[in-house]
Amino acid sequence: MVQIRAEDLRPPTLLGRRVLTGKMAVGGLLFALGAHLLVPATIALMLAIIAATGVGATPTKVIPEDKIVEARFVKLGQKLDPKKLPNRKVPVKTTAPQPGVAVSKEMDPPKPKDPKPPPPQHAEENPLLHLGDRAQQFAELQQKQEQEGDPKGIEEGTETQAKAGDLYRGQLVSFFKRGWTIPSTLGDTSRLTTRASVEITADRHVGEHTIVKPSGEPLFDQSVEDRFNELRSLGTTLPEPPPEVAEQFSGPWTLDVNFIGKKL
Amino acid sequence: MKRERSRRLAGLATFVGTAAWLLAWGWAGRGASQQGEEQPLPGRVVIDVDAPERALYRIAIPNLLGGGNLGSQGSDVIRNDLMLSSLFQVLDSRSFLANLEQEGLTISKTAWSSVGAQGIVKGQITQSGQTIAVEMRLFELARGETPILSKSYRGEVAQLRGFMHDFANEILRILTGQAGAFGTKLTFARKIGPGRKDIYVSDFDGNNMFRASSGKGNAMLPSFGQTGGVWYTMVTPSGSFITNTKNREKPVISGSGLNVGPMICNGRVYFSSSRDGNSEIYSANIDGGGPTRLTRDPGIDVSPSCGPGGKIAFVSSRHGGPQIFTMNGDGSNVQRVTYKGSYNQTPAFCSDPNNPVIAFTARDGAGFDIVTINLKSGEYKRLTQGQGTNQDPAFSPDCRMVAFASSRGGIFISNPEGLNQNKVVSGAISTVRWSR
Repeated sequence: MVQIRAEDLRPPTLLGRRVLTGKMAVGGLLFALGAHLLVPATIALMLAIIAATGVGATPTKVIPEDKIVEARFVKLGQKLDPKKLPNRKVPVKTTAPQPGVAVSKEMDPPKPKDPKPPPPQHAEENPLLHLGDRAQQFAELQQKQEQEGDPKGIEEGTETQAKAGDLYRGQLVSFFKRGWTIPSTLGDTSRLTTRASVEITADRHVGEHTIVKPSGEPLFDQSVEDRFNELRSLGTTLPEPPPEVAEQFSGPWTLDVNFIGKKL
Repeated sequence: MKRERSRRLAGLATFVGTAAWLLAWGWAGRGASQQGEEQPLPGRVVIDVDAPERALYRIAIPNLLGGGNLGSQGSDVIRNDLMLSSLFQVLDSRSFLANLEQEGLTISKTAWSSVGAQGIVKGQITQSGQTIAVEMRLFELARGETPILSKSYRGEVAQLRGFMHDFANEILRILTGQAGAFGTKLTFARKIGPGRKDIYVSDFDGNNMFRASSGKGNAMLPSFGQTGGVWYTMVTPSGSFITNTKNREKPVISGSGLNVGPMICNGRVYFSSSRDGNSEIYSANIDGGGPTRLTRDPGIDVSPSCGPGGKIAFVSSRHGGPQIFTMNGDGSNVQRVTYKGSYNQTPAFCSDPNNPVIAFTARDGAGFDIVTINLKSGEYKRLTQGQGTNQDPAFSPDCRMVAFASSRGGIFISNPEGLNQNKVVSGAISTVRWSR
């Protein structure tokens, strides 16, 4: 006869302590070991069978080596004959008007005093007389090539896109650089820098200037002085700032310019 | 012990961590302040203007005071020297505003700056019979009214040109750090009749020209000796031999075949000879003894020319058309120099070891032109083009000028870019050499 006790009818609770017997401990240990060893053993067995029979193996693909293609930015120009000697470099005479030369619509152009008589009928122009002109044109063509950039940019620029302020700074650089020359007797001037401060008047004229920090080479500093004096005496005006930065450059303002030399 | 060590380690870690935080904080702050500096202050803009163009140095050279015509003669010499150097713009004396008599050997800065002068040369001659005393001054306006160069000369009237060349050299030394080559000499062959040439010597500016050969034969291919005198080749009906002015046209190097084109350096005479059947480069003692063959090639090897470091440039047709080669003074280390142009000849070194350039006569079309090649960069420069036939270049000792013979009627001098070409000697001329 089975005897039922009162605790057998109650559901087990966490508060009730179960007594761990030795059999239970050994059984749990064996189950854990079996569960951990059985799965890897099965996988290892399957792999061994596959390796032995070759069933299910996929053929290995031969991956071709990647070829490295060197990319270079090609310079604009033309292909030169490696056997041909270079042409003589002809110095380009500037054909642009001198800075400060006023061009007015109101003024009549000066008439030549002694106009040349008309050439006789069937006269042929002597092409030898214009050889120099043509050489000049070719020299200019040779030097000016189309390149990417901003129509308002400067020849010395390096970027293709810029903000309005950058463009104006570039124009200021060009304004002071064009016409600034140093004597050819000076050697390497790349280490020379003359710092100058110049007042710009409200009507964008070059005002008084001071050499804030001389370079140590009087001739170099003198070239900077000469440039300011020339701009002042010609009464040349600075380029007009773009509307985006017009407020910053309105009214009298001070410009600091570092004049830096050049390697030979 | 363990507890003590772990406590120390914890302290160290705390210190390192704190320091790292502080450094990072400081770095960030510095970066922010730098960014702040780059931002232009309101109403103040900073720009960098670099790479200025070079312009000729504007120099005023009024006539030397005193000495009558000698004053203008002396200043003409300096004007011409500085003009030929291609570094100076000599200002027109008609534009001068200064009162020269009143100034004497001093200057008034305002009077000279208003005419655009950067430098002023002043001089005074005191003549007593055939003896002259010359005081020379160089002023640079950027350095004030004190002369930056003063020099005195005393001697015969005939020495005036030499004094002026010397002062022009000093001007270049003061202004550029390297003295000029004014006062040096040229030697060249000049046609004096059908099939006849003589050797002449002149100052580099064409003055004081005189005949160095006897005028009794056909003399050509001259060069200066290391200790004076002129070496050249005499061609006679019986053959050719090498001689010099010190030996009064007696053969120094002779033998079978042609013996031509002497060039003196490394204490030896370099020449080309066909004594062994083919034209090769040889060297010999200064007295003509001990000839040594330096090249051994089936091609034609001619025109040896001396360079810095004992190098020899020469022309060889070993690869087809004539091209320029170099070798050591003993014939070793032969290297081809030119690859452009179909007919390159008559090489001439720049004697400055820091400026490894060879000038040569080149042809890649119809006529001959002067071209230089930089031995380091391999860059070619054409000095003449469409200006007649130009050949036989020679560098001045300071390498600032190149002289060459031109079909335009004489010897021209230009700068190493071929600019500022000026005729200094007239005549039908070949083989120009510049003294050292």
